[in-house]
Amino acid sequence: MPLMRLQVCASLSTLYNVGIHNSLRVLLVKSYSVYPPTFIKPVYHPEEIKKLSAEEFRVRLHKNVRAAESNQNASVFHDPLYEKLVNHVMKGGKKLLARQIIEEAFLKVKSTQVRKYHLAKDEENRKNILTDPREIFHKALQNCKPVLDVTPVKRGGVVYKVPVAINDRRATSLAFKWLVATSREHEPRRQHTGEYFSDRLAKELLDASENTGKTVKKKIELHKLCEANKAYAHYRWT
Amino acid sequence: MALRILHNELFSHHVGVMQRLLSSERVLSSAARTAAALDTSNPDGGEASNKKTAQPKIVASFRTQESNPTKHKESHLSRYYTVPGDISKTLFQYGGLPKAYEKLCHIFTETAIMVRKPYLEVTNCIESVDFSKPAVRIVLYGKPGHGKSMTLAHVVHYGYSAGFMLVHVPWVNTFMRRCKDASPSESKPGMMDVPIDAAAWLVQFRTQNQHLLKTLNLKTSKPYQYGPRDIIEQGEPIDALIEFGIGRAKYACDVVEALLREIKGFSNSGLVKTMVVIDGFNGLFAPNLKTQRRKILEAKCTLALPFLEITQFDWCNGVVILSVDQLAHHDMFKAESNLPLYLLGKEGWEHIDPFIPIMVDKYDTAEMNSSLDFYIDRRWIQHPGGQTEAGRAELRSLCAGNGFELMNLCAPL
Repeated sequence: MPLMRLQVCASLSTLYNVGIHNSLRVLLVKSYSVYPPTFIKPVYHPEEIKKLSAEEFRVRLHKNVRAAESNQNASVFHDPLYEKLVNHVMKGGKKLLARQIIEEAFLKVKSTQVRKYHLAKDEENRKNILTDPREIFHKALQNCKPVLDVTPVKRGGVVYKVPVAINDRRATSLAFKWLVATSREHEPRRQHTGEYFSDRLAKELLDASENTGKTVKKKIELHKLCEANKAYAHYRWT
Repeated sequence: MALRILHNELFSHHVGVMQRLLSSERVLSSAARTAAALDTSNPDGGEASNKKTAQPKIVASFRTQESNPTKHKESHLSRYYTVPGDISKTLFQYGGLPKAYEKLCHIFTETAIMVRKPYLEVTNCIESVDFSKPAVRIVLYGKPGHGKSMTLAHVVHYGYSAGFMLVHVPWVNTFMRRCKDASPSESKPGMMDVPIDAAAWLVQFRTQNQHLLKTLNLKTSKPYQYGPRDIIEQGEPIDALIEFGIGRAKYACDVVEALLREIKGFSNSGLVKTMVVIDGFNGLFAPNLKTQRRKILEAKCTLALPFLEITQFDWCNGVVILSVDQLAHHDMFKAESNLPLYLLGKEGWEHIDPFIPIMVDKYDTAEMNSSLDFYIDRRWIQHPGGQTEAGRAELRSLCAGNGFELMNLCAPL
C-alpha cells in the first residue's frame, strides 16, 4: 500500500511539478484524489461568498477550483455540520436513506419540544424550552466534544495511555462518532420494542443538549481517564 | 390528453344538468356574498365589531377568529380557523383528518383548518340546493396532497354546525384495502363481511351524531331479526340498533345497511337533513378486498353496499359530498390520473352520474403565504433561514403549491 501511494504521488509530481521537492510532495498529496494539489476548495454558499474580502476574491480569481461536492449546496437551510452527521450515519453509501433517518430524528426532537412549548401556558416556562432542532443538535454536539484524548505511547515495553490535547476537528469527529454509536446501541432484535435509530438519536440529541445522557457520559469518562493518567503526560515529548 | 378533453366536455354537461336541479338562488348567491363581504370591513363578521370588548384580541393576518364554518365567506379565504377542542374531538376522534395532519394537530394542540375556495364552492352548493329534490352529489377531485381530505374535514364541521346528520366515512380504504378482519357473509352469499371495521364505523357514527340521536328521538320503522334471539322490534329507538351493531360485530355490516336505509327514510320524511361525506369514494369500486395483512380476497365487501346505496339519488333531504383520490385506487401505484372519469371507472361513473365536480387545486400565493406564516407561528418552521424571504421562496418553489409536500419539507426545519 505505501509503495502504491508513493508511485501515485511520484507520477502526479512529474505531471504537476511546481517546484516542490519530491519527498515533500509525498507528504502533501492526498492519494487517489482526482484533483491535483493546485486546486483549491470551493466556496459554494452565498452567505460564505458574502463574507469573502476583496483580497480573498483577488487571490481566488486565477486559481483552479474543485467542483462542489454532492452535499454542498446553496440552500438557505444548508448546514455543513448536518451534512457531516449524514456522513456518519450513512452505511454502504445510502446517503438518501441516512438523510431521511436524520430528518425523522429531527422531526421527533421538534415534535416533542414544540408540543411541550405549546402546552406550557406562561411565557416564563416557554422561554426555557429549546424548540429548534438544529439548535439542539449544535448544542448537543458542543456538549459531546472532548478536549483531551489518550494516545498509546510505548515506553520500556509498556504501552501507556498518554493524555493529549486535541484539535477541534478531532473533537468534532469523536463527538459524531459517539453520538451515532450510542444511538446504534439497541436491545436484541427479539425484544424489539418499536424504537428505531431515529428515536434513539432524537433522545440522545435532547439528552446531550442538556448535558446528560450516554454520549456525554462517554466524554466525561474519557476526561477522567486523562485525569488519572496525568502522570504520563510527559511521555508525549520525552 | 384526449381523456382530459372528453372529461371536460362531460363535466360541462353535468354541471348544466345539476344546475337545473339547484334553485335559482345559486347563481345569485355568489355575487351577493361578494357584496356582503365588501360591506363588512371586519372579516370576522359584524357581531365582533358591535360588541366592543375591553381588550380587543390581536389576530394574525393568517388567522380568523370565526370558528363557525357556516359563517365562512370570501373574506375568510386563505385564513386558518381553529376547530373548537370538543367539536374536534367529536368529529375527528376516529379519523377524518389526514394522518400526518392529525399528528401536527396533536403537536400544535389545536386543530386549524384553512378556509379555501373548494370549501366555499361546496357550501355555496349546499346552501342553494333545493332539499325537496333528489340528493345532490358533489365530487371533489385533485392531485394527492392538494387538500381534498382537509376540505372534507372542513365540510364535516360545516355539516355538524348546520345541524346535518353526518354519514361520514373518513377513508374508504380502511375497510376496503386494510380491513382488520374479513369473514364470509351470511346474509349475502359470496361476499365478505368486515365486522370489526363496520362496528368501528358505527361507533364513529354514534359519536358524531350524539346530539341529534338524543334530541330527535328516532325510531326504527320495521323489525329486524339477525339471530334467533337478536331481534330489534319496530318502534325501538335507533340507538338500540346502533348499540346492537357495536355489541354484536358479527352483524355490524347488516346493521350499517339497515341504519343507512332508516336514515334515508328519516330524511325522506323530513325528520332530519343528512350529509353524506365519503373520502376516497372510488375505493368502493375495487374488484377485491385486501386485509391488513395484505391478503387479497377475491370477493366484494358487504360494507361497500350501504355506502353505494346512500350515494344514489333516490332520496331527498340530503346532500352527498365525495372525493375521488388516486391514493384510494385499488392499485394506487398504477393510477395514472386524478380525474373522476379515470378513477371511478365505468361502473363508478354510471353510479354517480350526474354530479357536480369541484377541483381542489394547489395553493395559490395567498394560501401559500398564509400556511408559511401559520407554520412559523406554530414553530413548525424554526430555522432562521425559513423566516427570511429567500427561505420562503425556496420552500415555495420546492413544494410547488402542494400542502402535504410543504408540511414534509418543513418537518426537519
